[in-house]
Amino acid sequence: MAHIPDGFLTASVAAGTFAAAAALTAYAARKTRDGLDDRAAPTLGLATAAVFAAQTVNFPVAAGTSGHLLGGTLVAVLFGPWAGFLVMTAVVIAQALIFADGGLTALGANVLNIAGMGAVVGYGIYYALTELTGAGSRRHAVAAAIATYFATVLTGAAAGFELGLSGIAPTRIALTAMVSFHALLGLAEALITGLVVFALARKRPNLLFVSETALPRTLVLVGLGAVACLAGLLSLIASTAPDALERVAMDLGFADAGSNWEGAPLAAYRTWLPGIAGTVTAVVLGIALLFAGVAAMARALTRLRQPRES
Amino acid sequence: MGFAHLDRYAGRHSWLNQRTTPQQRLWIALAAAFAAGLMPPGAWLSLAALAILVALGLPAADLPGRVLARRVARALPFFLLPALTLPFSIPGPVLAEIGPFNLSGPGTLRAAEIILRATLAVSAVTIVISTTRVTDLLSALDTLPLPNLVTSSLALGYRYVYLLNDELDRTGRALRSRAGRAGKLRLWRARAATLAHMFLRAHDRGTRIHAAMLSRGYQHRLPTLRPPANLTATWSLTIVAVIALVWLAGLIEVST
Repeated sequence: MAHIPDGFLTASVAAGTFAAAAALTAYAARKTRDGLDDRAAPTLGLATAAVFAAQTVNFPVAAGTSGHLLGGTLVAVLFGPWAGFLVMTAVVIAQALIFADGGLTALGANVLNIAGMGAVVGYGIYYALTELTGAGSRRHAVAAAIATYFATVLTGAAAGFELGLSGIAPTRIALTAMVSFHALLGLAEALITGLVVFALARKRPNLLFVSETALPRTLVLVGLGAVACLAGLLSLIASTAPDALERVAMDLGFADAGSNWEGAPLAAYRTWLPGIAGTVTAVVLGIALLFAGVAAMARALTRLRQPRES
Repeated sequence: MGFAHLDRYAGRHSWLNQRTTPQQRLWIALAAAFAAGLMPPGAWLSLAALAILVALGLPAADLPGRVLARRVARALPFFLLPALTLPFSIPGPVLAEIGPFNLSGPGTLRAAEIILRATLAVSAVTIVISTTRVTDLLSALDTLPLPNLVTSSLALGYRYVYLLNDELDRTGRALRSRAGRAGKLRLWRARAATLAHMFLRAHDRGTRIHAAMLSRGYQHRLPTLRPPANLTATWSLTIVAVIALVWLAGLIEVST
């Protein structure tokens, strides 16, 4: 879900995200070469292979469905933010070209969302948290899990923002849908990442990446505060989206004329239950429907495919 | 686990394969995906023309239609479901009422267009890429303006992913034979430990591989034994030009 397919982004959004992703990739390549010098190619190659292999391991969730690791923050915790960024970029390119997962026009956006948010921002949060909590395998694991959760939600937020900018849906709606979807997805991703980091920190603690540049504590606190504010802002947008939208529609005077919102799924649920409870129900039901739809389709398709590809 | 499944349709002597190199085919795939993905909204005629071009690619690449259908079907849920919410979320005159939901005219049109564009892009990329060996594709990627570290990660990743997969299979089998019935949380912990073990071994293997590469004279670039195909770019340039013309026609169609 995190992968935006072709046809969803407009030319300007595609161009902007491509430029940003290219600049970040070039910077990441330079940083990684500085840090790992000659060993960079085999280390990153094996990390890429490990991410692909890890994505084949299924974790049972509920009612016969299962999920797998995406791995952005985990790779960054192990190999550093910039090496992690390059590994996830390689993964996203392979997914788009070979597995038709995510579009080529959306490659820049997907690199930004999955590699940028997952590895770089995820590592930033992890780093800040470990600065505060101190060393220890359990503390590292908890820090990694929390960082993964926020990074996953931010991945969704970035994707929703890009879709909104492209005029696919009003930004608030796109943001709400993507953030709430990833807020669920992030729980599993965070739990898996935490467990893997815990096991690794016990087996071989020196394998976890240690940043060479020590940041001053004030900067760490400011960064964490910024992330917390952003998360709060996102949840605020998500929880008030239908009301705010209606307000805008009324302010602009097209509440009756053009707007279809009363017929939208969110609005329909909101009329049965008042206030925030209705909104939350609407969001949860919407996500559940989406999950059920994806699961049913995926299951039907694998059943169709199985006799040929076994 | 074998690695041949990705290359199953790569060795064919198709019209396309005899006239273009892997590198040129990569450019064709990119051009087609960009033309489909960035076709301006409302350019229905040009979109239809592009669809005909993509359909022509099927016999040109000698790819069975059911293979394409299967691979497109795998990608379908990821753009079908988000697109299907558009008829309800884009405001406009109401077409039909389904229970509590209203289907809007512009939203339905928009959804149909996005589904069409996404399908075309996925089909074009699938046709061109599945006729190319992954190793050829990886060396073609080397000619794109990508950092060397990304392309070498892809190449080494492809080389070692099956090995790591087999390792995971073995640890998984050992886990199943020893762990018996476990609760869900224990199972998660066990699988996470398996993953941690794999990452650890991958890291160690990376160090060993680095030593082996150095002893064989590694100089920052992965060598390839396959000589570059010696073909002029006439055909690939023609195909890319036709795709570009269709996209330009789409721009004109919308502006008039």
